[in-house]
Amino acid sequence: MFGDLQRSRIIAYSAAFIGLIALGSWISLPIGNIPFTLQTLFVLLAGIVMHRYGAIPVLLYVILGILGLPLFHNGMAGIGVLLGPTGGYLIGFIFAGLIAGLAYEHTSRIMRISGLVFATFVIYLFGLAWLMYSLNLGFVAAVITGVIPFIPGCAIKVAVAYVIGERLP
Amino acid sequence: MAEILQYVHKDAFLHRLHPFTKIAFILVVSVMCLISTNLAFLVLMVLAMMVFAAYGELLTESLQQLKLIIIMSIIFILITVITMPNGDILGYLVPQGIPWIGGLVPITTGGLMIGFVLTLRFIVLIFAFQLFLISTQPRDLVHTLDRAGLPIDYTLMFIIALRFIPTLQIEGQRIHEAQLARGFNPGEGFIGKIRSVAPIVIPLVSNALLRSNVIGLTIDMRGYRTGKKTHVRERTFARRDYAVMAVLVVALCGFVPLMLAQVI
Repeated sequence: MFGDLQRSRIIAYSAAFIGLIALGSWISLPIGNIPFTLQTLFVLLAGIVMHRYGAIPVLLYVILGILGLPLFHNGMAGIGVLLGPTGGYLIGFIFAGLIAGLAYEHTSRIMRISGLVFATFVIYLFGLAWLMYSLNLGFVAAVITGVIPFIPGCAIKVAVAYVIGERLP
Repeated sequence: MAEILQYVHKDAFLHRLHPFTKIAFILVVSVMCLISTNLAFLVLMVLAMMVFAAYGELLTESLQQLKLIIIMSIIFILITVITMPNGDILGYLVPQGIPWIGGLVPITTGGLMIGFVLTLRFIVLIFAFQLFLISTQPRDLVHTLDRAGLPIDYTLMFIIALRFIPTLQIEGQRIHEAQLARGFNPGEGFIGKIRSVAPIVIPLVSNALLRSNVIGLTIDMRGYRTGKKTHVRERTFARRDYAVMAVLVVALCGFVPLMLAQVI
């Protein structure tokens, strides 16, 4: 053995999850002006599989997108997406990956599920704050456009993420 | 589905350039087109990109992105027309003859202008990145980024992710078809889309993890962090690299005064 197998594995897993998140973001069903994508599912899965290192692929995904690779929803790219109305969600993803990962270091089921729910909550917290700031919306209006339409989808995504997490080796 | 952003093997001008030269090229091009708001200049940049692609014998590969570019352009222009009304009104998106909503979304010169500028910028950036990625061998890319001082871990993640994306895309398609062949019927519409997620995502993720396990072992066995690094092929700067650098410097020198004079 040469080095640190753990570390090489983190590299390979990160690469796989960058790919998966990018793939999830191309499957996009727009609701209003915010795209509903599978990104969150793969962000949560990154945390589930890589534990606390789950934030690395998400961070790299955002950086690569900013650098100009067409990885964001609908094949968009560049700093403009991050500064646009939906940029807050992208920043929220990074923390969501971290939180889901930290929660999955515990083995108890309650801890894991609440971790996933809290991670989703953090995505919306960031998304909502940035939506209010960038479009000058009031709190209620921002909640109506930026949170309410996604709650059913997100509940499904959290459930799917948990089920998949149980079935992965 | 065509694999996007993958290396295409050829022996042409762009392939023979040193990766450093190409990175400098991308940097200069992106800075120029991000600063400029002049339509004529941006059109010129798009044409220059095409000439570059043609000279490097990569024009057909570049034009494969045309469909994506056209769709993106329409979306960009529509968004700016709707959200940034500004200047004279040329017409209305919803014709005035329609009752109630007639004359709702005005098409303004300012909005159109910004839309065109954003679109052209996007086209130039896509072209530049694509030319770079399809004309540079992954190992040269790793080598160059390593030389530039990036941590090798992150360079590797970047390169492997780039390689992974099209593979995963094709695999997702294949799993979907396999499930259909087994008689899996997710149903129609929105609910059907949601129900079709799990049977595709589970095999996709487990396959990807299995594959990355193998890659992780391979990386480790090849001793990527032993401290001693030698490269199979050392690239050196050739005369054409200096020539391209010179062109870039001249272009920058021409660009700065024009920018200061606010022409561009």
